[in-house]
Amino acid sequence: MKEVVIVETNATGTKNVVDDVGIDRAAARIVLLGVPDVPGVAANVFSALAEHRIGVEMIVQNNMRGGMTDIGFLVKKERLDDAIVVCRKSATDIEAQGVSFNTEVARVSVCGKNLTENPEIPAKMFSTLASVGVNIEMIVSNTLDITCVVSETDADRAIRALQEAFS
Amino acid sequence: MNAPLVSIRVPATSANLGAGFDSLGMALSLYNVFNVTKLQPNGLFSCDVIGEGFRERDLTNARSNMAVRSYLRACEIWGVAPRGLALECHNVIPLCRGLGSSSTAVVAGVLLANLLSGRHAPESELLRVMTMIEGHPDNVVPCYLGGMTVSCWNEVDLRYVKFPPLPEDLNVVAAVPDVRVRTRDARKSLPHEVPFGDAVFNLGRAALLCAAWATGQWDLLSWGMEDRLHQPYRSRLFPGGEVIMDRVRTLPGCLGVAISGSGPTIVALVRGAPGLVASTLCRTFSEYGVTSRFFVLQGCAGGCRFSMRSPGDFQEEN
Repeated sequence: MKEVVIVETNATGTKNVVDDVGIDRAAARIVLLGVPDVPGVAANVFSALAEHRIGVEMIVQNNMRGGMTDIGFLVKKERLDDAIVVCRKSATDIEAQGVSFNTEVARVSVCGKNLTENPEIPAKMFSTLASVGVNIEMIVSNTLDITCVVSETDADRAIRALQEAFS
Repeated sequence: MNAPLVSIRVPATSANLGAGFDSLGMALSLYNVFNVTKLQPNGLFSCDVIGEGFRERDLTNARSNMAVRSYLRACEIWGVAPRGLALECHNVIPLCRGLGSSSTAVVAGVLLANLLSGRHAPESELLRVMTMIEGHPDNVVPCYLGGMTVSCWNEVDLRYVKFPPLPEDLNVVAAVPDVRVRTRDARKSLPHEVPFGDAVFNLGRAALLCAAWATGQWDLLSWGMEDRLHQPYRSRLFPGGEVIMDRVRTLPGCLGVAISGSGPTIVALVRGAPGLVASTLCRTFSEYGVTSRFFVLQGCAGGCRFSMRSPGDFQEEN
């Protein structure tokens, strides 16, 4: 279930580019751990997910070290059981070291216009989360929104702080 | 990038399985990888830790790294000169969570000593040395051999039996909270004496667990994984520990649930879709203010695996 909280905006300053602040608790996080850094591994995993019509979002690949890397992404919780089967098989096929799953996550987002031209917006978002002790597990941004994945245990605190900061 | 001189892939383990305190353990499909990237002069060691523990000085300092210490100890026991080496540890098994992370280092270190010295020690000798270093057999034996094992150790010698692997449709859900339980603290929490009735309870459950596993009667695991010797005491060491197992025991598909090793990880054996059991375990940790994640694993039947380049490549570098 996605909950979106609309925040009133001002006409001046940095606030005018942010239209709303939202939270989404419908996604689960998956991380393929210790993936060999060779061509074709991402194709293997995401082709398998595509064959099962499992949509993915927020794909993040870490920096490679020692010939291995991690690949993280989100799926809808309602497809988690299917995704577990697919990811585990892919992990075996590509000789990854393992796969971890996390259902206790939430996405918090600030949405607006031309966010990439306003560098103070991500700075303010991350500072706000840090000020209330919220650790960010994943970040993705584009011109229309900045989204952070945080732990469910921090989610209510995170969204309250963002509402206050961007209202 | 050149292939490492030696690469060892070592599985996680869940020990103290149910009623089998210090005796029953199983290998799981989650792996740490230890690579020797170059040989160095005798006495010179370096460690690069990637993943779990990369900030831990006990791991990044070669003098205290458990794989290096185990390598040196095995060389000492066998009376062989230890060659210096550069080690790369790719760790994905969470530290101090009851999934046998330190045992992977012990197994890797002893196996490295065997491979680099050309000793060709038999399996029983490797396991004896691994157990001597670890202090108990129920992690290192399944870690090296794979599968589920029962093992007994008398401080000098070891006897063990490897059981058939879990069937493919049986998942092992491991819910890992973001809190640490040190093995020594977990040992301290145990009583010096237990009531006779509790000892009898565990004898029956441990025997049932082994018999059920050996004969594939998986529906009996729910009884076989009950315990009164360690779980009631250790469940108090982490948030949610005293309620979490009861929350999932009766969920569809859940055949048995236990604290993994010394905790705080909880393992549940689940037939069929694991999502409900896994999310219930993690939601319980969240209710107690603890973040967590989970793995859906299978039994690792093959245990530790290694690859090694040809002897001509083994030249020391300064």
